[in-house]
Amino acid sequence: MAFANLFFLFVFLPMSLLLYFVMPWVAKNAMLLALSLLFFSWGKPAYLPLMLLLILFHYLSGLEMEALKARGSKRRARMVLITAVVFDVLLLCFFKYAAGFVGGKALPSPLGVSFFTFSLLSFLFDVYREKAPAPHNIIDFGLFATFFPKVSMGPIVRYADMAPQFKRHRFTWEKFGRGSRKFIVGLSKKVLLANTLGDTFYALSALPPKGLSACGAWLCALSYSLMLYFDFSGYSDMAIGLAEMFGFRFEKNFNYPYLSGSVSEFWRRWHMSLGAWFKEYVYFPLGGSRQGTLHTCINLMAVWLLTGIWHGTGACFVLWGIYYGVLIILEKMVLSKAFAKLPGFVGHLFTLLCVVVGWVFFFSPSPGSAFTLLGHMFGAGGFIDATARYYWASSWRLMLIGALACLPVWSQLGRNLMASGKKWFPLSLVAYGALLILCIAGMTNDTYSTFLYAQF
Amino acid sequence: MNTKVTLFEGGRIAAAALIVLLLFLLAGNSPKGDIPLEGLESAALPLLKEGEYQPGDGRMLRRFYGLNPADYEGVAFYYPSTNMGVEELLLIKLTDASQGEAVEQAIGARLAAQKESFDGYGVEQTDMLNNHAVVEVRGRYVLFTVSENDQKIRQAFLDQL
Repeated sequence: MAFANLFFLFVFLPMSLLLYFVMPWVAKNAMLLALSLLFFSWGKPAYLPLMLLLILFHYLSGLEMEALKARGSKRRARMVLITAVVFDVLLLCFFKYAAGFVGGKALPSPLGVSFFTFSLLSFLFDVYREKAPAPHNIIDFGLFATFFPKVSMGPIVRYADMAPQFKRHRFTWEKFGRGSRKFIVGLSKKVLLANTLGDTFYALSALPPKGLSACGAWLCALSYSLMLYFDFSGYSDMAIGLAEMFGFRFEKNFNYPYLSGSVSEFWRRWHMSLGAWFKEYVYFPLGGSRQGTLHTCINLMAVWLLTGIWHGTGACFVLWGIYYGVLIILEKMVLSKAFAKLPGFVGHLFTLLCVVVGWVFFFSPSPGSAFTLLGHMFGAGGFIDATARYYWASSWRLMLIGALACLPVWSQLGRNLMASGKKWFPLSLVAYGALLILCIAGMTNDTYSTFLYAQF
Repeated sequence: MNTKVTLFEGGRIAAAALIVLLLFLLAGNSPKGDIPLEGLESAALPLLKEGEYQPGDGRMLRRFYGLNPADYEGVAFYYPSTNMGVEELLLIKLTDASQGEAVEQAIGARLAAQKESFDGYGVEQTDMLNNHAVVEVRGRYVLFTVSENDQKIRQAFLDQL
């Protein structure tokens, strides 16, 4: 079940909110868990027992680690951590990289396997490192593992961040209003921008890369860059907004990444929960940047290779990971000093160039087609042709709207309108209502629309 | 304290063992009427010619076949990576077996359009479309492929059912 879906919008969400409100406080988390399990097993009910067993396995692992630490058996607690982490990683690899093959038959992946596995791993690490106590209520823990706003595509919420909210989260109309606005903004990003930009991207990517001129190839790469941003950040906004409607608070997952002045900054602003996860649970434990230049480079490459592989094992994802590893190492060692002496816009342009080139590896079906497209972006197929003229003429307005929508000015404007009191408040309500109606119209017209990150 | 740890450890190991057992059960006992589309896809995809195809999405499916993916339980679709390519794979898990006829017609129309596109100048492509295209509808499962390995793909598809 996707958020940008009429069934979710008109049946699942209103029913969930209604059931949540009518439940007494003590049963609210249990109700949310039941709804989350329903969401998780929607379309794939066979995985419900698997999720229940995973909850039990991690819940007991957490309690065992805590009990062992309390009696001073740190070594045994460490063994519990290692075995549980290995189990999770093997399970992830089984579904993601071995295509779920058992006994000659294949199993499809459960919903959001990459995302919920990383959440469960964060739980194991956080309990072992005593950043959060082991859960003593399996319902709360089950809710952490399966909470429906985040289970399918994140954000990857860390256990230490969510655990304190189980007892404290409270519904308020203010939170509900804020969450609804975030949800509508996210839905608009997905339905009105990402899906429309997709028309340009899919039309151009269906053409042979060798037949594209530089202008056509750039339009293809730029439209994908905008589409992916609005698709994934739109989903994240919806997830964060939904959580807020139920009284939970998730950190933002995107922070205007295309305004970054360096590649490192871009990755601090893009899919922030994944970046933070790798930093906290891989980069720092490996030693981070404390053990000299060589070790820092090795650690960065390891993190970026893993980030690439997390998205998939295809050669393009591995190349994409290596590309960012090399870029970030170069930036740390050489480029940051050079850019510091140049005007600020140089860093911004360089970052945009690197990111758009990176997305070419991300969306290309093979390294060969990625390099062909890159070659054509830099002139191998001439500067402009009739195809590029046609597509630029038909989509430049959309590209401009997309580029403008990447700026923070709109959300600031929305916040100012909401905060401006009686005078502008009705106008902002009309604006959000109009956006919602436009989205519903878009969804009615376009009944099938998956999220790009759902495949990871 | 020791009893607690033993209980947690036993429960944890039992849960892990049950998860492994469950995976085997899910795979081994999946009824023939409910084969996951991903399994069919994993069996057929390696038989397509490397670099000749790319994954398609709902929009491309609508564009090429006039089919709406939301109408079906699952769709896996790969289309030629170049304008001169014909390598293609379409797997559909129907919501209801009665949809098979309409899907078969849509595939027929796509095949006819491709033949028309290459007629007169794309000798190899026309040969592929005439001699290496397979359409198979079995219960709720539909296969369409154009590939040099068309018969192997067909066999892989049938083996999974």
